[in-house]
Amino acid sequence: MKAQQDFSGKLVRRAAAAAPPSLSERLEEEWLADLETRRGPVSRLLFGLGCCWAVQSIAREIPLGVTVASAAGGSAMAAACGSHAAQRWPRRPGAMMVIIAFHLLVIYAFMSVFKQPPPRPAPPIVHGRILTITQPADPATPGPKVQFTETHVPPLPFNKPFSFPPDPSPINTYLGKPESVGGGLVPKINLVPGGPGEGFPTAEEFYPPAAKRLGEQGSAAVHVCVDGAGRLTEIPTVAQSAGSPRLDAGAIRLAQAGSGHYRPAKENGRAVSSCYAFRVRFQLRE
Amino acid sequence: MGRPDGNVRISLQTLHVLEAFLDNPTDSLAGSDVQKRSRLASGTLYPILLRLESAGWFVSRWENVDPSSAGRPRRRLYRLTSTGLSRASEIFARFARGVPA
Repeated sequence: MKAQQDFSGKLVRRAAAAAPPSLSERLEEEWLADLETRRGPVSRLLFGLGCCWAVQSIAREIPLGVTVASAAGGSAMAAACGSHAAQRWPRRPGAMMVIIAFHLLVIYAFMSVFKQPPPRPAPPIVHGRILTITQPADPATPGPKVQFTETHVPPLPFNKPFSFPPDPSPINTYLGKPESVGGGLVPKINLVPGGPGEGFPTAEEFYPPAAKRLGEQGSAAVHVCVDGAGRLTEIPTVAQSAGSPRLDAGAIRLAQAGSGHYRPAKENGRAVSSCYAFRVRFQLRE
Repeated sequence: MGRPDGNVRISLQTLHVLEAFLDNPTDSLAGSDVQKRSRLASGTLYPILLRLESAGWFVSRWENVDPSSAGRPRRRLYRLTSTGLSRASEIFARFARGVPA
């Protein structure tokens, strides 16, 4: 008698228990017997759910003074039925289902909000190397000495893409005062890094439509090499992904389209070729 | 549910149930048998069976089998009464004449 042990059997017994008391025993035995003829878990489950549905109809109609044979001995004994199940089952199951569905939706929405990971902090972008060549004070000292210094510049705070101040102050200066290396003096170099300049396209123009449809947002760091006239000298590459290949591709297209509109880096006030990275932020408007 | 005076609200599903019995009116059928013939869901079928029984169109009895030896519960068997048979025949005859029941 597997019907009495599995989930469908429990459903049937639960449904029968919710029936009016005079019918409960009869319906349980009758439904369990019919459940035995069902093969397959889905069929059995549907049968059990059907019994739950049936008992609601029965409970609604029984209080109208209907008489049916009860379980007692299988005789035609008539029994006046009470409204036992009508109190345990809602009269409007559809409305109850809507309420339950609404609550599940609210719970799901809360869970979705709290499961969203915090934005990752962007690592600092390495802007390049400054090559300093020192001339020996003493001509007898062999060869020039080469010194490399790495400078780290924090990511530019772009809330809107490419809202650069018109004339930024120098942010990258050679470290320290001139010092003597091998008897020579190290010249001071003022370096103003380049970036997107006047007439540079906006991220909105290159927001990939597929990424928009999918609700993808993020910022990609693009590495470019620019000459003194603000034109690209190499194909831009992604230095840090936005987390989506579509957004990365959009950032590359934007960087290519901006060739000629880059603000070149300035070394001691003179435009020079340079390589650097900048961020492209794709953000959906509310 | 059905009314003791024999007046039963006849729906399409009720007609399916009656049709399952009219194939052989003297047969006693369990709910699972009726379900196979009428293709109704259990949630629809059992209230109709109880409704027709309470209206006197059906009588029901337990299957004459010992559950412990059979290894399953007894089935409840339904059979058309003479009242049920005449009323069902009348309804189907009206449909055959094209008069709505």
